[in-house]
Amino acid sequence: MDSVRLDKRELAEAVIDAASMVLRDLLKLPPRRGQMQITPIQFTRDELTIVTRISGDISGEIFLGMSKETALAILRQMLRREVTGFGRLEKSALAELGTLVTDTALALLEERGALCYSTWSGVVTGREERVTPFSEPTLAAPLSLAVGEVNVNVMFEGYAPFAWASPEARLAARRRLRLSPGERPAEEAVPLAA
Amino acid sequence: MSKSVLVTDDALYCRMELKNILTSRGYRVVGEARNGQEAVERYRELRPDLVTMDVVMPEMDGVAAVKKIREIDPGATILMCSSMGQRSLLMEALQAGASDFVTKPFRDRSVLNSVRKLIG
Repeated sequence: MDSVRLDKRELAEAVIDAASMVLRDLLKLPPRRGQMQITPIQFTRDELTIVTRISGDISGEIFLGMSKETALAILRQMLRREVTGFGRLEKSALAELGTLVTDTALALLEERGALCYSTWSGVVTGREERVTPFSEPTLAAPLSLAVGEVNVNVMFEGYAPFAWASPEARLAARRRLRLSPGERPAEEAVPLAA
Repeated sequence: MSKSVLVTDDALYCRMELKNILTSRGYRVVGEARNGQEAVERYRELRPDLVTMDVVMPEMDGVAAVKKIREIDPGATILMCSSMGQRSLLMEALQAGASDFVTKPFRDRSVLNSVRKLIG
C-alpha cells in the first residue's frame, strides 16, 4: 500500500478544506481562505485553541485557533441560543467542532488510501499555553469568516509503523490503538434523565 | 405512552443535541451513556425502544456495544451516529446488527426521519 505516502502539504490541504466545509455548513457562508504558511505552534497564539489529535497511518495534531468573540459566535450557531461564556457544554461543543473538522479531513484522506482516526479533542483558552510537546513547525492557513478568523494549523508527526501493511492489518492495528485506555478523557458523569 | 430512547455519546454536546431533537417530537430520553460499557448497562436496566450509539468512544466503542446489546436482546433497535470519517467502523456496526445510521453534525429532519422509521 504505497498510496498512504501523503506529504505534509496534502494532509494540511485536506484539513483546511475540511475546516472550510464544516464552517460553511455551520455559518451558511463560505470562509475566505488565506495563504498557507509555515509556522510554529508549540504555544497558543490565539485566545482560544481547539486541539485534535490524529493517529493511524498518519499521526499529528490539528489546531483551530480563534478569538473568544469568534468562538462565541460559532457556539451561538451550534447551540442555537445566546452564549456568553465557556462552560462544560460550550467546551464540549467546540471540541466536537474539532472532531467534525478532523473526521471530515480523514474521510478525504481515506479516499486516498490513508486510514486515520481522531483520538482526542480539547479546548485550550489563553495565549502562550503549551499545546504540544513537539516543536515541529506546522502548515497553517487562516479562514476569514463573517464572525472573525479561524487559524487552521496542521502538525504532521509521521507515519505509523504499520502504514504500509495490508488493509486488514492496518484496520486491526487501528482498532487496538483506538481502544487503548486513557486516550480520550471521559467527561464528568451526567445524571439520568427523569 | 411515548417511545423511550437511550442516548449514547462521549460528547456532552452531542447528547444534548440529540436529546433536544428527540424531546421536541415527544420521544422520552430515559437515559444517557458516555461510552459503550455504560450503554450496555443502561440497556439492561431500561430496555428502551431505541438506542442511539456513537461509533468512537472510550472504554468500549459503539461497534462492541452493538454486539453486546444484541446478545442481551436480539430485537434491540440501534441507530448509529457517526461522522463522515468513520465509514469503515460504521459498516462494522451495521454488520453487527445496528439498524440504521445518521451522520454528524445532526440535522433535525434526518434524525427524526430515521427514528420515526425505526420506532414510529
